[in-house]
Amino acid sequence: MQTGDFGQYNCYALDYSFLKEFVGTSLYRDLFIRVSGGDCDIYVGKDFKLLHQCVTHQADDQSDLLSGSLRDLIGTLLNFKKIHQIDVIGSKPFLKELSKIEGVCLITTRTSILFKRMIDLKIEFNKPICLLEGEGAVFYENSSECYSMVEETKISSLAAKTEYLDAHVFCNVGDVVQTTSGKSILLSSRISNGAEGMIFKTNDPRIVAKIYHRGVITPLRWSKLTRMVARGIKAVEICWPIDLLFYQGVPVGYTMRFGKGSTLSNILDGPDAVTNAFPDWKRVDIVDTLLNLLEKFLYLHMNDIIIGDIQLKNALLYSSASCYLIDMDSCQIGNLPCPVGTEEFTPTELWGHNFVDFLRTLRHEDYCIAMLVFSVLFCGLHPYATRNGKETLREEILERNFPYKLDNSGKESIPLGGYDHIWEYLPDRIRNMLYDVFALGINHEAIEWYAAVLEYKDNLISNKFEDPESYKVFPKMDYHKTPDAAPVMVKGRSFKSNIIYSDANNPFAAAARSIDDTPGLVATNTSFYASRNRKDNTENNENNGGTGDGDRGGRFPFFGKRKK
Amino acid sequence: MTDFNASDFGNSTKRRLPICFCLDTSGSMQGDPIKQLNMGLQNFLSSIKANDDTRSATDIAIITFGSSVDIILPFGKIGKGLPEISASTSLTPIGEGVLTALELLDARKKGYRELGIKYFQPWIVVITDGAPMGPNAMANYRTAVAACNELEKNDKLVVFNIGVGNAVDYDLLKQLSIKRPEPISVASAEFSKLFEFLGSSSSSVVSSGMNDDALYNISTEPEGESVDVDEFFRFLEEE
Repeated sequence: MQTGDFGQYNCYALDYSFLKEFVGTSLYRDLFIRVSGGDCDIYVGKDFKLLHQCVTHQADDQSDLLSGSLRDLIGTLLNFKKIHQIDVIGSKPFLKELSKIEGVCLITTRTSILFKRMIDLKIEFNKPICLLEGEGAVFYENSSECYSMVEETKISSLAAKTEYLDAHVFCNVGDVVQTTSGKSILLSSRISNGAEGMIFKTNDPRIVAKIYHRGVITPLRWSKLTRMVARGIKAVEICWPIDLLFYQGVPVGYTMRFGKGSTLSNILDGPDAVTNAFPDWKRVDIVDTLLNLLEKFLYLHMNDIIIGDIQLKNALLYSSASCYLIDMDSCQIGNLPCPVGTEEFTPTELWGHNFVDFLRTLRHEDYCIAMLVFSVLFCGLHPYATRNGKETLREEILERNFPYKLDNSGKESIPLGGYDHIWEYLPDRIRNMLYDVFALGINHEAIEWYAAVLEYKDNLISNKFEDPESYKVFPKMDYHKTPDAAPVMVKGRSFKSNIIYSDANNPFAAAARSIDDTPGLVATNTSFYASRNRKDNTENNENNGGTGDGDRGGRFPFFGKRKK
Repeated sequence: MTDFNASDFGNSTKRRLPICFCLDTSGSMQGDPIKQLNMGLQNFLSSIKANDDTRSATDIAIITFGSSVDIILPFGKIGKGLPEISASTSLTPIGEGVLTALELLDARKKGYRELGIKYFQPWIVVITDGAPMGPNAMANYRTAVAACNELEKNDKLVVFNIGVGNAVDYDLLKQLSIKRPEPISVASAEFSKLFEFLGSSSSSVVSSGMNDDALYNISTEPEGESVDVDEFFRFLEEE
C-alpha cells in the first residue's frame, strides 16, 4: 500500500466511477496529463459507456461537464490509439479479463459499484488497484491487500434508535414553513395524504412539500434527509429532497421536485389497466419505461445510494419517456439503511430481518431489480404468480416455483391472460436471465439487465423480429379499452378524479362523487396528527405529485404510525 | 375450468385481499344502527375504490344474518353496486353466517389459485349487536368458532370480531378470535370511524405488506419513545 501518482504504471483500467466522482478535480487533471503523453494504455469495460449513458440521461448539473470531459479524454486516447474496450458486461467478467492483461492497474473509487461488488464478494484480483477516496489515491498490490486495509462500512448507530420526535407542532394548508436557510415556503394546497405524511403544493409550482405525521420523524429519518439534501441529487426525474422544512423551529418535513403521472403499479396492473391508460402502447413503450427506470437505479447506485424498497408504486409514469422516482426518503444512503421493504420484492435471505438492522448490498438490490424487470415486462405480474400452486406466495418464492420454462413447456401453470405469449416472445437473452434468477437463484447485476433490455429495444426499433406479434404489449392477444369497466385515465389526473369525472357507466363514479359531500370522510382531513385547524383545501383533481403513498392510510383518526 | 366464472376475478395483477363482511341484521339493528351500517359500508367501498392501492387489490363479499343467512354481495360482483341492507327479524344466526363466510372465502381462494392470482390471507369481519339466537344457534356458533380458530391459528384468516352497543355477549364474541385480546367495541354512531379504520388497514396490508399481526393491535400511539426537539437533536449530534 502506498500513495502515489499515475506515473507508476503505463497501463490502467478505468472504472467509470473515477470520471463520475473526480471530474474537475486535480486527480482527474493528473490522469488526463498522464494519458496526454501518448504512452499510457487505458482499458474500459462495456459498463463504462453504459454508465455514462445513464448519467447523461438524467440531465443533472454534472452531465454536461462529464460529457465534455469524456469527449476530451477519449479523443486524446484515440489519437494515440491507446483506448481499449474489453467486451464484457458486469464486475466479475471485467475483472477476469483484466487479470489477463500484463502490467495493468485498476483505477476505481471507494463507493463505486465495481469496488463495492468486489469487496462484498471478496472477488480475487491479482493486479494492482488504485483506490480513490476523498482527495487521495492509494495504490495496493492486489485485492487481498486492498480488502484488508479498507474499512467496512458499518451501519449508523442512529438506525437502531426507536425514539421519535414529538413536538405538538402541526402545520397544514395556509401555513408557512421555513427551510434550513430561512426561506419561507407556503403550503398552498394539499395533494395527498399518506401513511407517513401529507404532500402539499407550495408557492413554487416546481416544488412540493412533504410534511410528516406525528411519530414518523426518527433520528434515522432526519439524519438521512439531512444527508440527502447535502448530497443534492439534481436529476430532473428523481424526486430527491431539496430542503429540510421546519415549523416554529421544529423539523416537520422536506421539499422535493414535483413529479407528474400515475403510479406505475396502477398503470401496469394487467391488460385492462395498461390498455386503458395507454391504448396506443407497443412493446417498445414497455421496454422504454423499463430502461428509464434502470438508468435511474444505476445512476443512484453510482451515487452510493441503494433504493432498497423497489416497487412499481414508487415510480410515477407520465409517458414511456417520462417517469419519476418517488418516495426517495426511504432509500439507503451510505451507512443509513432503508427501513422498509415487502416480502414480494426483497430477496428471501432478508425475510424476517428487521430492515433497520443491516445495510443492503448491491446484490440484494439486483434481486429487487430482476423482480422489477419481470413485473414491467409482464405488465404488473409477479414472477411467482402460479396457477394451482402453493397455498401462499411465500412458499412459491422460497421454492423458486417459477412457472416459465426455457422450452415453453408447462404452460398450464402460467396465469391466464396472455402471459405465456409474453414469455414466448421475449428475446432469449432476457428469458435466460429471468430463468437464472427466478428458477435457479443465479444473480445478474443491474448493468446486465440494462444491457439486455437495451438490446431488446434496439431489436424492436430496428424491426429485427419477424413476427408482428412481437411488437405488441400483449402478443397474440387482442385487448381493447374497456370504457365501462374502468375509468379512462387522463394524464395529470388521479385515479380518484378519473373515477369522479368519468363519463363511463361506472358504479363507483356516483359513490366517489358523493364522498366530497360527506363531512369527515375521504376528502377531508381528519388526521389528528397533522391538522391544527382543518383547512380542508385538498385538491382532489391532482395526482400524487411526488409521493408514493398516494391516498393510503393515515387519514383516519384511529390510526397512528404504521410500521411497514 | 371449475364452477366459477373467471371474469369475476378481473385481470388485475395485484395481490388480492379478500374481505368477507358478516353482518347482523336482527331486529335490534333497526333504525339508526342499520342506517349507519349502510352508510359506513358505502363509504368503505368508495374509499377502497378511490384509493390507488386498494382499488383493484381488495375483493369484497357481504353476508347478512337475520331471519336467514343471505349472500347479498358475492365476490366479484361489486360492479353492480351495494344493495340496501335492512334489519327486521328476531333471530341472530351468527354461527351460520360465519360458516357461510368461511365457505365463500375458501371458494374465492380456490379461484385465485386456479387462475394464478396472488392473495393475502382473507379477512372475516363480523359485526353483531347481540348474541347467537335461533334454532341450533349455539351449536352452530361453536362450530364456527372452532373453524375460525383453526384457520386463525395457522395464519390463514384474520378475524375482526366487532360488537355494537351494550346488548352484545362479549364473552361469546371474543371466542371468535384467538389473537384479538378483546372484541372491537363500537357505538353504532361510530360506524363511519370503524369502516375508515378497516379501509386504512386494508390499504396498509396491500400497499406496504403490513404484517397481519399488526391488525390485532389497534393502537393510536406511534411505536418507540417520544422525545422533544432538544433531546431529538442531541441524538443527531451524538452520531
